[in-house]
Amino acid sequence: MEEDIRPELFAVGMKADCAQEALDCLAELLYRQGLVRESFAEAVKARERRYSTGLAFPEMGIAIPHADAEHVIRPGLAVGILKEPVEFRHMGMPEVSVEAGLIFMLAIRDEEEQPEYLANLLDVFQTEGNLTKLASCRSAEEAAGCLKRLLQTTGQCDKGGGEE
Amino acid sequence: MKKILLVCGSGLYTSRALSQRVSKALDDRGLRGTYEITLGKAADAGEESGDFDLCITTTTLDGECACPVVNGASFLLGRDIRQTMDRIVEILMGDGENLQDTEESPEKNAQYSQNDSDE
Repeated sequence: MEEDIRPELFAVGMKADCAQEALDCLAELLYRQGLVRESFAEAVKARERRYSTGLAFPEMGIAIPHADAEHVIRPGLAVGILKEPVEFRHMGMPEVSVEAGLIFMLAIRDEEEQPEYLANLLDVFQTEGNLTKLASCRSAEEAAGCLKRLLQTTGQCDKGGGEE
Repeated sequence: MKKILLVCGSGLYTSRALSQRVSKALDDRGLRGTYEITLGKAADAGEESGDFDLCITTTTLDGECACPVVNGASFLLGRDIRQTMDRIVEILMGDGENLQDTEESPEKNAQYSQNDSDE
């Protein structure tokens, strides 16, 4: 996980006028890091139109856009912390609008080789306070460190252990 | 054995991430060992649904489903899971067994436990 969650894949204080623009920006980060093919950006936007990925958590709306495996080279995650939220449609309920302040763009290759930290993301989202904590980070370094800590804490909870 | 089809848009991320949660919730209702979950994608759900007792989906389905469909959004959001589970249990136990409404905690639901095979 250490090397997978790195500042180069975080866009902090991201300015986007719409979801499409935010998706382009994050896809570009994944592309520059060699995690996805050039076709990924279009694929992720097309998929979002068909299967929207907004999630309205009580503390904040987020989105978890992704694309089919053929556009992905290596699994990974790009995170956008937006200056102003952009509008997504809710997963499974396209009639519901979600103002997303955080976007987690997932590069997923295959269910077999899906890294554990990607599966654990949902636990991070569902624990109140985590999204606010992440959204308040001021730099990519800080945000990457914050998400790593949140994932570690979540992992430890699962095993029934924990620090302190 | 009840067969559950769990689908999301691409069958890659969301359905997989939810699979454990759904299993845990079913086990908490005492259904361990009585069901199996198959992951799939929304586009294929209509076609495959004939082989299943229930389809849990996180997205809108393209076609008609031959089995009952339940929206799984509550598992994603970690909210209103009890209502969703009530519906799921109702469908799975549909013929015959009469499960009461389960207001309380999972511990209380454990009393419904009827098949505790370890897997």
